[in-house]
Amino acid sequence: MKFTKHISDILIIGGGGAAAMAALPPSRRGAKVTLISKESSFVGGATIMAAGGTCAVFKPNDSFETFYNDIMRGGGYLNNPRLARILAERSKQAILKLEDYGFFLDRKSLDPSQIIRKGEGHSFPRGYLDRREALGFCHGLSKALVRSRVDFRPEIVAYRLLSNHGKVVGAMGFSLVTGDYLVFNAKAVIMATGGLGALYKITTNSGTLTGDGYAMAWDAGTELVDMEMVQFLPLAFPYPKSREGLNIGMCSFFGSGTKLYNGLGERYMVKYDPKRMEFATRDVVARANFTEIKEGRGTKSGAIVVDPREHDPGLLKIYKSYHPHIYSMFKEVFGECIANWQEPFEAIPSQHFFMGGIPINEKCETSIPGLFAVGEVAGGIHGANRLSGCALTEIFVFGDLLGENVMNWVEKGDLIPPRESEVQEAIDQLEEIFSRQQEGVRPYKIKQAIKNIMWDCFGPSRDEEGMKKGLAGLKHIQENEIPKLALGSHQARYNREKMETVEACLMIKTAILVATAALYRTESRGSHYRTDFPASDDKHWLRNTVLRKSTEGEVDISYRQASI
Amino acid sequence: MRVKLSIYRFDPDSNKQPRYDTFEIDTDSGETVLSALIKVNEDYDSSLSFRFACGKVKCGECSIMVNKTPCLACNRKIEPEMIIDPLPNLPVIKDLVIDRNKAINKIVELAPSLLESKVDRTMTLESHIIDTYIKLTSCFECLICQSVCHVLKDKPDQFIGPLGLLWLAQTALTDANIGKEMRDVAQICESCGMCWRACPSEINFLEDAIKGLLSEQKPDNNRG
Repeated sequence: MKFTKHISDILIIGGGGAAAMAALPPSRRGAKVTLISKESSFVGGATIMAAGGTCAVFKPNDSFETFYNDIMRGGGYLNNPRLARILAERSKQAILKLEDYGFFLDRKSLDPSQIIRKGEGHSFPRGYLDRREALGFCHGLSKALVRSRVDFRPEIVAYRLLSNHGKVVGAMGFSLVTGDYLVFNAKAVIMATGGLGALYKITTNSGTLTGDGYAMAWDAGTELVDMEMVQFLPLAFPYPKSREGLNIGMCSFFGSGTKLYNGLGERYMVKYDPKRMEFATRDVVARANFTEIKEGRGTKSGAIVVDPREHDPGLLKIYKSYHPHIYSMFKEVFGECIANWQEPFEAIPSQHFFMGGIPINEKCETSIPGLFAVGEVAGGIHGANRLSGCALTEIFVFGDLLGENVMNWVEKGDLIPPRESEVQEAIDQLEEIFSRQQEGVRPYKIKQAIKNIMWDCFGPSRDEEGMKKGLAGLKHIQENEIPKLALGSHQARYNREKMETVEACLMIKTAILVATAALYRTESRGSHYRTDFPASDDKHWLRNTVLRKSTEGEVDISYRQASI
Repeated sequence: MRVKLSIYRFDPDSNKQPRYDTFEIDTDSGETVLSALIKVNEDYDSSLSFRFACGKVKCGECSIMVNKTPCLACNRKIEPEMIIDPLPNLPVIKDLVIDRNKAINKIVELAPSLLESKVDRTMTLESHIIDTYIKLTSCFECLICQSVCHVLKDKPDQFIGPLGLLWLAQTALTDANIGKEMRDVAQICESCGMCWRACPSEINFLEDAIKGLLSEQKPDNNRG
């Protein structure tokens, strides 16, 4: 099969803020940076969906040390402490530095006196809010990419990392627009593909967040850490289908008078956290909501009820100015009265973030030379649970750090071409699936099946029986459905099913890794909660799960002492 | 709810002429046009091409025409009968997918100085300037404004269109020394307001962008 080859100094895979942040410094210093994204937007991904704040040490009485301690405590002490420290220490400077890329932040909100909302798990108010939500960052960074002459290539689907001489030297994929196969060859490859929200039936993420980077890095031979650590938010829109899972927030969004009820009219939080009730950490409330619904105590539409009538008027004002998207979605789904918090409404929990991923060091290097990782696809920063408002902070801090460091690698590195056999094998694999003519299983069916299993068996509340059943279901898909994958139509141009085929092939690998790690951890910690092991077990489990591919290609799992 | 969709189809690889294909589907009332298109793709015709990413009114990628008015497919409720077209006046890749890249590159090509930015964190800004700036940068880049602009349709090689003016207005807001020739670009605009009325982000192009560009008044900010 024919392919077109592109050469650059740095290849970045991913279409969100982390990719853009890493692209800008080297491009400004004259490196040729190619950025490929499945999406059409310059900066989209999970970044554009972000609604909350960007946390940093803004308050005069707050300190790096306090922020660091909050991050570690929130993460159940599984965080890589060196990375957590970098996050805390560079938080403010990374946010302020954004303006050097030629756009303004919402200046008024940067004033320490305006930083007022204190998220769960934070010792101080830390969230910078922007009246454009994350659109301001995305918009500003997009224009900076064009200005800095980054070679941005939209709608390119990456399938396989390419290696040679023990180094990652590029990636193979295809153009969604033309269907042509493409080979990218670079001195450094940066994985910035984001999280895996789309592995779940209900998620706050875009459908594009299919976790491609985890599976691609796994295939290339990296370890993966903390793959059981999936974060869920308590409150999301329950309907209609097109709005299901979209983030509303937490009870603190409405103020301290907020109450939660199940379908029987019971204030059920008393069973889960009698002390903090509705204001327990978001993992606890998400799990409570999930459990009430799962055990049949939800409303007729399978939701719980939020009563925001005793809200804080100050927060209502903040929500209207700083969360225009959530406000407009409230009006659309529930009407004007509920949008103004005058009546109770229904909500469901939703997948939100993934803490595990490709382990990185303080330079965002992975265990394979030439391969770097940044953003949600990288693991270790947040441990077992991420504090609110730290996802954007992470991409600004580590995107910038990687962008500054990667030049050292590029300057001393040689361009090594990928092994031809590897390129050909990857293309042949895809071409074989794409050209299947028989009636098979359409990719969207496989994606749906994975999403259902992940939500039912690897959601906010887990147990051995359910997880074993789930893992068996995933393996059944891998062995019996994936080999039958076939496109419904074969046109070359803008064939979305080709992208979905690649997503399905990568999703099943990632899903099995999440399932394996979740079964392995026989305790509850952070976002990983097991009804059969409800307590944390510091004696045995103050350590990270590590997945490795054995020489036979099997999944090897072990653990490594977390360093605190 | 029974919905009838007539959808524009064109694949430059195999079609000489565009055509309309009609599909009748059952879907929940209250659902979006995007959900209906996904259903058509899954259950009736997998060769139908359309673009979307977030599906929840954030990314601006799914802009199309429904019954001759532009919208984000994820933000438009279904109706019993719908004619679906790609955004007009923009190059079509296939079916409902327009060439966004080409359209954005065209603006950059016509006015490369648009990309110059004098913004940095040492600048101080008046509060009303930042308020206007926030409005001007709440843009999805969905290209609906470009597609409805009749001046751009008539003068595609001279005019940067509403999106270009929006970028220009952002620069002008914070840079008093913006060149006269750049302000002259804004003169081509006929201030008909079509872009403002069609904008899903409700950006008031006339009031917040174009009026500022046409006035001689220097913005009151300073560097320091």
